Amino acid sequence: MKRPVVIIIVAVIAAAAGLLWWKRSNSPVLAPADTGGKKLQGTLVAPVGFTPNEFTIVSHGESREVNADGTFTAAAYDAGVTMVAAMLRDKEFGLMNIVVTDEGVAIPENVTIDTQTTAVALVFATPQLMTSDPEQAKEILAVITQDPKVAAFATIIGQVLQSDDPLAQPEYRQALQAALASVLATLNP
Amino acid sequence: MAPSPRNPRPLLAFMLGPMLAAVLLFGAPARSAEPVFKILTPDQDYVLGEMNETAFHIASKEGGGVDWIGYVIKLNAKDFVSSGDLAAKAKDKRSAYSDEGAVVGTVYAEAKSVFRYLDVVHLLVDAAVQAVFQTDLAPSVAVAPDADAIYLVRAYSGGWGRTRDAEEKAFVRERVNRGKERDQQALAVNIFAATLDGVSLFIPLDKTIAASDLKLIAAAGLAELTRALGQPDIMQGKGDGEDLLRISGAAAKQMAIKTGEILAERATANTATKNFFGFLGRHLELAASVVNIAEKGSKLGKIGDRIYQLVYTATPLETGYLVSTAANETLAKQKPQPPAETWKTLTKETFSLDIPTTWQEKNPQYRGQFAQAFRFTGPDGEYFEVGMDPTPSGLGMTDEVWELTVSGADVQIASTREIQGSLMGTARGNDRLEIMATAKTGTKNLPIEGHVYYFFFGNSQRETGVATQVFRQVLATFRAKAVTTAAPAKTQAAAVPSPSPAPSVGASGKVTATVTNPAGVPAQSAKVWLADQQGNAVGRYVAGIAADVVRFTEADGTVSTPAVPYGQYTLRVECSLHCFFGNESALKDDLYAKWVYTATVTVQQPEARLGTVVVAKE
Repeated sequence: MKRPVVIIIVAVIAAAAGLLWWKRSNSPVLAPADTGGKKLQGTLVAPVGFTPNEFTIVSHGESREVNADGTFTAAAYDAGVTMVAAMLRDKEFGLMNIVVTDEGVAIPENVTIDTQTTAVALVFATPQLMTSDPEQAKEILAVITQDPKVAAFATIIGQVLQSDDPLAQPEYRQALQAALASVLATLNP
Repeated sequence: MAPSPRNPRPLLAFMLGPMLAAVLLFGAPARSAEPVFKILTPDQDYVLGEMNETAFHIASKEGGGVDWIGYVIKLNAKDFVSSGDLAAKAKDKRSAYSDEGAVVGTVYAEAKSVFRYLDVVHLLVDAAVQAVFQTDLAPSVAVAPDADAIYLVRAYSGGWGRTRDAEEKAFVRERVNRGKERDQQALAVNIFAATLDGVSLFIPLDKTIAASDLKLIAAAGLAELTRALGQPDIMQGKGDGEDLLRISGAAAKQMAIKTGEILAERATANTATKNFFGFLGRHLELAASVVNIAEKGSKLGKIGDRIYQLVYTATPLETGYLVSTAANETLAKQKPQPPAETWKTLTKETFSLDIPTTWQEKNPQYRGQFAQAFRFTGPDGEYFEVGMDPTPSGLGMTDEVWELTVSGADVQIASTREIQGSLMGTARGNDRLEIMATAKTGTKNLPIEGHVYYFFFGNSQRETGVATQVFRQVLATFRAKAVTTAAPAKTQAAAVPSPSPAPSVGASGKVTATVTNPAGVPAQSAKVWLADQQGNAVGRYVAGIAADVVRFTEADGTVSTPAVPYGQYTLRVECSLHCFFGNESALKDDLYAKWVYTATVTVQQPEARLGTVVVAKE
């Protein structure tokens, strides 16, 4: 092939690639690639003394009812880290889970919400540990999940759930402090 | 992730094809001319300055974990007497200039450790900084290669860099012109950016919430951070990770609450959603207060990691110089000579004097002992403070006393003597030179044009080997002004009842008021402060740092200022992002609105009650 022809082909390909790139760059600023607000399926394990219909699912700026059997759907990032909460009726408290999603699928797929996932989520959702990075989140969540002080925190959550203002209970603060300190010590020996 | 619109690479790629063809077909263009700017960098641990033909920008280096706000400042070419002098000053990380307020542009370099929603975070940081600091963060700054083009680049992180350069923080906050303010803003932006990443767990940073609402949420967070950083004990240089975590928690709480409010307003949320954000706000604040970050903070979330880096590794300041080839050639032709001390005249309401141009006006240290005080400091620890009309309190110890005589509006040095103990006590041995000068007849103060003046000067860094010629020269230029009885011009006068009996000289009083909007709704959390006639906020300072200067209105709009010496002040009230009228945001749908009230007030009684003051949109 003659040199000018090759040059023109190279030029056309580069220009086309550039045009494609430029077009992508002009997509709305607030629309990163992983938007979409996927709907996840999950199950709420209501603690003793509560029924599923006393909870409302809140996640990703949306709220949804919980079915009588505890199943629910929740909005989440298509790919990212989302807090999914089941808020108690008329209370500033609820149960929750941190859900890591990839291409619209939760990892693990079955999203459960109970007192143990709540303790894990609340230790994670702190200025010390929270992150939007899925890989980093998975590492941190793995450590939190294994921590015995977090399990103790879950027990306390089950107990304070009955009070008017669970967050104001001294034992909640103490258990959160112990669990967070323990996890930080494991992560940073 | 979609490429940022501010990223020029796509456009470059689009142009690359035709350019490549042109180069291959017609051969390489003639070699470009010599660069028109030279970049001098005394330190570049974390930030690189980069220049194309007409614009300058900064970029974080690999491994840098914090954001940087860079101020490009045009220096006076006369600050340098030769190219050698420029090179020496550029090499010294502690060089400071009096004219660092002449900013030609502000640039922003993000940390290399990027956030997941970087584009959105960047957009929200830009919007919040514009709303809260009224500063535009540009990707680059155009600089002209004029013959006098010498630019100083100051990049701030707000960090402490305890393990890298623990002394730099004090230099930035005490010696660099406007360093304190810029240091604090950079710290706020750094914690804010990391906090934004964290709150994305429960505040969706995608299309779920409108961009205009996200900006309001972000601005509420940065405003809270800025407010919290202005509180006593936070920014006194100690660099406490616990405080920073708490502030981050408070900012996250404000963003959570704001999100709940906005979603409720948009009718997309119910009580459960509002409770969710209310709960999260409280939880985050609680969690931030119960456990600090250990010094070995290698595995933390994004906020914890950012705070760890700010406290331990990121130095507060990176400095560079941009020198045009023309300016460099001009300097090279100049014969090296010692820099001539140039002087400037400062005019105050009751006097004027000359000081070296390298000196700056600072917060007076003798404010409590005089009706008014003015302090000027030099780059090497020199200081000269004028106190007017002393209050009946002790003046402390000194090394020397200079006696002055009065000649009309001028003063002349009659004698100088060292203090050997006696009534005042001597301050010898404290590593500072402290001299007091005043005019007296016997034991009585001698007024000059109706006021009594005391002068305090010396060196705050050295006690011996200090040349006093500069202080003699300042004293020689002092001119008191005749006191006039005409009432000063007022833009807006606030009625304050006259006291009875007449106030005693040297006493202090506070101003109380109730702030409302034009509809009479009380303003909550409005910022209120008193400024002296130089525009400096008045209040309590600890080690030169404002500890109780700005106060905030209560839920019923009431506020009282710190007690200040009797005198005339400007009362300023501002109500913007952080402020509410009743239960409603002061801004509502206008993110850029600011509600203000300004008045001249005369404090001449223990409590000057203004009654109701009404803020109006600026």
